[in-house]
Amino acid sequence: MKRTLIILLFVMPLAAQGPKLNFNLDHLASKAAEKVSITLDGSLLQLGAKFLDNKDPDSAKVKSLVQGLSGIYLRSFEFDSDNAFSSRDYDDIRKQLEAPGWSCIISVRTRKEKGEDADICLFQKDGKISGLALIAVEPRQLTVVNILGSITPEQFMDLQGFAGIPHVEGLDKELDKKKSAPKKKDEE
Amino acid sequence: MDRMEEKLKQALQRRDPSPDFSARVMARIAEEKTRREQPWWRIWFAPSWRMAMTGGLACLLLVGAGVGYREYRERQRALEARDQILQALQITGTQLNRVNRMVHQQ
Repeated sequence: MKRTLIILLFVMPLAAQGPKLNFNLDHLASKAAEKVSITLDGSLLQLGAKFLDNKDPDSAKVKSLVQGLSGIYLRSFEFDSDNAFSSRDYDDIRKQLEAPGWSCIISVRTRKEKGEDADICLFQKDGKISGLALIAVEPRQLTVVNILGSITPEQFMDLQGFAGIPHVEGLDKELDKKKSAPKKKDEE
Repeated sequence: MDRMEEKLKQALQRRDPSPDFSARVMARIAEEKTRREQPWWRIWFAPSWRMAMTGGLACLLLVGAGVGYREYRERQRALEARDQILQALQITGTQLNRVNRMVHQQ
């Protein structure tokens, strides 16, 4: 009985691994000056997609992108002062990105010098992308995004200029470079 | 003749109807005729039907209002979800742009 429990304790976290990240950043909410929390599961995404106009080409692009998704989870906090949060607050999320299936196409570590860190990681299963994770750290801002489903950063470039989505200059070239030689934490 | 027979005779004695008998019969016939001649829809105005109709109508209104409110809530939820989708994509796009800048600055 004891042995079964021990085996279960080891096996359960492995079984839980997938493109969905577990992040509990609620403790930062009280310290933040501004916060955005978005939790959209598959059914809500499809419900919302129904109200995206098919006739408008940009809306149609968003709609087709959303139709391939099964979840969007986003937390973004903006603080009034520097060092309101530490790397310990998001290290737990980063550790999850070291699990099998995840590969980070971009990892930037300049927290010590500039107070900025960033990770863009993709989850792949059977050769298909089924998740995207983004951790962006600024001295006064922390953003964590986890998108489930078939999505690539390139698809965002298709949506540039629509609904406030900015132009991501040159990211396509950067992604191509990184993808041709995927390496974890290569920007450290 | 004994007492019993006397009573029976009295009971079975022929009596004339009251003077207003024929008038009452005629009035009843007229009433029946009028009732038969009434249009079919007049039935809806009968008190029992009126009660049933009012009840049914109230039920219909309640169900209709319930369905309408549910649809309204569903629509609100969908619009809220759509706005959140766009906001999430916008924030993600902004952050991708920022990461892109960071990579270029390195």
